[in-house]
Order: sequence, then structure tokens, then C-alpha cells
Amino acid sequence: MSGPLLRLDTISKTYRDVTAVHPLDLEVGRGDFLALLGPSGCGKTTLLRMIGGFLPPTTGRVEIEGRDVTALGPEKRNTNMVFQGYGLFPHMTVAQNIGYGPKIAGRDPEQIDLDVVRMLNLVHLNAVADRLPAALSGGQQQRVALARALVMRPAILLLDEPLAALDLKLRKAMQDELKALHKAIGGTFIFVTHDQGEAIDLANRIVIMEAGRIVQQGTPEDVYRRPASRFVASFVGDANMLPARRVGAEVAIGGGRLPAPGVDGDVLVVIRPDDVTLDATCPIGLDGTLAECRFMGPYQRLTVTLADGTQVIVHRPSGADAAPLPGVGDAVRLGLPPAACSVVAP
Amino acid sequence: MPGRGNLLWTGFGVLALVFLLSPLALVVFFSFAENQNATFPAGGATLHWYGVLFDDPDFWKALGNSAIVTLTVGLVSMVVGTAAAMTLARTRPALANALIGVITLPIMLPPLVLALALATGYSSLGLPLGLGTVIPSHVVFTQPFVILVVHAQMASFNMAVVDSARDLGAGPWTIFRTVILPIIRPTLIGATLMAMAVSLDDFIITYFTIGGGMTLPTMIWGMLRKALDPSINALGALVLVATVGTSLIALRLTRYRG
Repeated sequence: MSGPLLRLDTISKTYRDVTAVHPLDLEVGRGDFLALLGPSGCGKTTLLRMIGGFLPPTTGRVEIEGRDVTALGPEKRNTNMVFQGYGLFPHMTVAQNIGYGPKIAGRDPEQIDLDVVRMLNLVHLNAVADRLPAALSGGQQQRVALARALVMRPAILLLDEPLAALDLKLRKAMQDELKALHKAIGGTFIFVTHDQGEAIDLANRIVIMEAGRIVQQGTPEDVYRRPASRFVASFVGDANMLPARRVGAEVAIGGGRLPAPGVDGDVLVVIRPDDVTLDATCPIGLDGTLAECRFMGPYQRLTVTLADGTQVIVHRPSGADAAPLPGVGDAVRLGLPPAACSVVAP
Repeated sequence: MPGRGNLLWTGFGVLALVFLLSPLALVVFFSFAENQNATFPAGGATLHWYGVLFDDPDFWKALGNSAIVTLTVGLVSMVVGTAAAMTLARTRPALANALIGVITLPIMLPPLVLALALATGYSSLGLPLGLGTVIPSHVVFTQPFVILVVHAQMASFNMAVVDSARDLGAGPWTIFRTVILPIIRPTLIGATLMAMAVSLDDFIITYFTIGGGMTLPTMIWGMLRKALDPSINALGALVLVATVGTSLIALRLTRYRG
């Protein structure tokens, strides 16, 4: 089939006088693992719930597989959701939870049993099939919620902050599991998260939202390496932001020039701490003083104060072959590879 | 001196319990005692008074009426109360609280005023008094118990469960039947039994709205006015057993663990 799997057309949501989502367009392709990333209150969950049919949009259309589903509720859509609190049925066993949807759909009982077993295998829950959700760990409950949604073979699986309730270690394990699951079944996943690390790790495409609008979308590398705004730069990963001026579509900084189309005026040059080098041969160089050096495990975190007082953070690998460091208080010259620099509005 | 303080409290507790329970114990005790006047010395043990009670055709009539009223009131309160509570749970909180205030008015009102109002209301509408007027009158003051209890449960209900069921293709009625009802069933049974207990031992409102008939409480009232026959004690003991039994069943069903 041609065309996107999901198309949102000028979709928006307004509550009384508050606009949660401003009119926006979005297309999601088959097989995508898409992250809706943003701080709390940015409208990402509202957007997800409109895709799932739980909220009627104020304006716009939702199309799934080329069909207008705007007026349809979640029970009529070929989407399934993994809820933030999982929403497992507390009075049903794991197997009954997973079999609920197929049973409602009127599938053949023998087929349901096979499907349930297949799902239990997929999420490694065979051993607890007859337990009630209350007797499961958080990670197991999460997997039941996944299996319960996936057994419906949805065109799109929606996940609302799927890992937020898990502790760090479990979250990492579930990230791997989600990725493996996506690969195994080849489905289309859309998940909401406020955790940029999770988005970068899991998604092949990230949509960043701020105050009800999409501010940037692209591959994890795109949004990390080429942030389109100050907000994206600061929200996704750590960023150094150096004030500069744009004159004639160029920004002069540290003895070098960055091409930067746009009107003349104040701008910020954004560079990631791991892109800044101590390489004196770099075409863009900034002189400063090493103010602090901290050992962070896999890397060292240097703080360099420039002549104008701006502080620049530098991450350097802390492995055995790392070059020896200057001492605190010494003058250093920072190298900014032009390809790693982005210019954004202040 | 914790020892003495504890002793004082224990003594007070025992005294309070004796005060509360001894009349009940005496009712049961004298229902099995030979003494005609229900006084000490009690005389030997006998089932005579139960025989007297069971020979009284009024007892069977009152028992039947009480059974009809209690069961109907329980059923109607459960259905009406649950429907109201489910609707209230979906109403915005400010409005819901205002509505609950209005709905629970009947249990705030003095029963005498409510009874008078109902009796006046029926007579002005020209409705003949009887079980047909007792049942709706009871529902007026039993449904708030069901609404309050079920609404409290719905307030803490995990709505993600409802969303999940919808997401998996279930319609409103299927969701209620397969998800909401099984989860709130213990609460529902508890609330219904509470409504039935309140209905079973109501006297004032029944007395004002029943006209010529009788239920167990109004029968006791009638017997008291004639003579202090120990068969009253037998009736009292039976009502006690029925009420305590119902409560125990309710606690067992709702898996109440104290």
C-alpha cells in the first residue's frame, strides 16, 4: 500500500480557552518507531489520545491506512494502546487479560487460546499466565499490557509513557525488549515520552513538541546533531550555547565563519559537549581557562570559562588512551568542528 | 503509669460493651425463658414463645411483607443507586457534589419529617397506602447509602481499565458487565445489604406509609401496645439473627478483613 499509515491533517485540541494542541500535520510511515517527545504539558499525550480515538479533535482529520477515522472511537480503530498505568483488569488472570480483546472481537475460542499462548511466549510470561496482575512485578505488568494490545494485531501500537513507572534498571531492560519486539513483529509503534534518552534509544523518528506545537522532527541523530531551536538543543541532551551575531548569512565565531542563512541579528551557536575538542588545529578556536575537571566514569567533564565569562562544557573519553589533561587554571584552546555547530535563534 | 491507665480504659470498654449488649442478650435470654412476665427468676428453658409466635397468623403476614419490602427495596436501591453513582462519577466534581447533597437529603432529614412528608404526599395524590407506598418510601432513604458507597468506589476507580476495555473493542454495556461490575461487585453487595438492613428495621416511615398492613417492626410495636408477651422476645431474637446473619454474609462476600 502506498501513502503513509497514519496521517494527521491540521489536527488540534482546545479545551474551553486552553489550546492543548495547535493545528498540526503529521505523517507516520509503516514500520516506524516514532517518539512524541516533550516536557509535561506540551500536548504529546493529548495528541496520542486523539490518534487512539479517546479524544475527539477540535479541528482536523485522522486517517489510518487511508481511511478517515476521525469520528470513530477507540473500539472501532485499528490502534491499540498501552496505558501509562497499564490499566490491566485486576479481576482477570494474565491469560484472561490478553484474551479479552480477541474474545470481544468474537474470534474462535481455540484460536484465542493459541493467540494468547503465542503472546505469552513473545513477552516471556508463560510462567505467570494464571496469576492476577496484582501478583506481578511492574515489568511483568508492563509486558501483559503490551501483549494485550499486540494480540489485537493493531495497525499502530500506541504507548503512553510506557516505561515511566519502572525503575532505572528495569527501564533499560524493557527498552531493549521493546526494541526487540518492534523488530520481531515489524509493527508501527508511536510512543509518548518526556525522557529524551529513551526517545533517542528507541525511536527511528522523533517528533519534538513544545507548548502544543511540533518544533522539530527527524531521526534521533538529526534532532541531536542539528537542533532547530534553542528549546530542542536544551531539551535533547546537553548543549553549549554561545552567543554570536549573524551578518550577511554568516556567523563569525572563534576566528572562523559558519554559514547560517537568515536575517542579521543575535544568534546562538549550539555545540554538544562531546563535539568540543581540545584540538588547536580546528578552524574555529576559543580561548579560555580550565575551571573544573570532573571524572564521570566513562567520560571526563571539563568546564572551560571563556574570556567573556561564558562557560563551555566539554566531554572527553576517560579511557586509558585519552590524552593527558591540562591542569585546572591553565589556559586551553577549544576546537569547535564547524560541522558539529548549529545556529539557532536566541 | 501506663498500667493503671490501661486498666481504666479496659474497665470503661467492658462497661460500655455490657451496656450495649446486655439488652440484646436479655431479649434472646427471655425468649427461651418460661417466666410469663419476662422477669427474674426466669424459670426453665422453653421454646413455648416461639410456638406462640409461629401460631400467630399476623407473624407470617408481617414476615412476608417485610421480606417483600426488604428484597424489593434492596434490588431497586442497588440498580437506582448504582446507575446514579455511575452517572455522578462522570459528572464534573462541583456539580456531582451538589447533586449528592440533594440526593442524600433524605438521610439528613429527621425520619419523622420525611415520614410525614411522604404520607402527606401520598394522600394528596390520592394513592392508597400499602406495600406499594412503603417500598418507594424506603428507597428514598436507602438509595443514598448505595449512591454514597458506590460513588466513593468509583471516585478511586482506575479509569485506565475502562479505557483499556474500550481500546480492546468493548462497547459501554460490555465494559460495565465484564470490567466495572466484577470489580465493584463486593462494594455493590455490601451497599445493597446495608440498604436492606436499613429497610428491614425501619419503623417510623413504614408506620406512616403502610396504612392497615404491617411489617415486622410495626408488628412489634403493635404487640408492645397490647401486652408484654415474651413472644415479642422471640420475634426480637429472630430479627436479631436475621440482621447479624445478613451482616456476616455481607462481610464474607465483600471479603472484608476488618
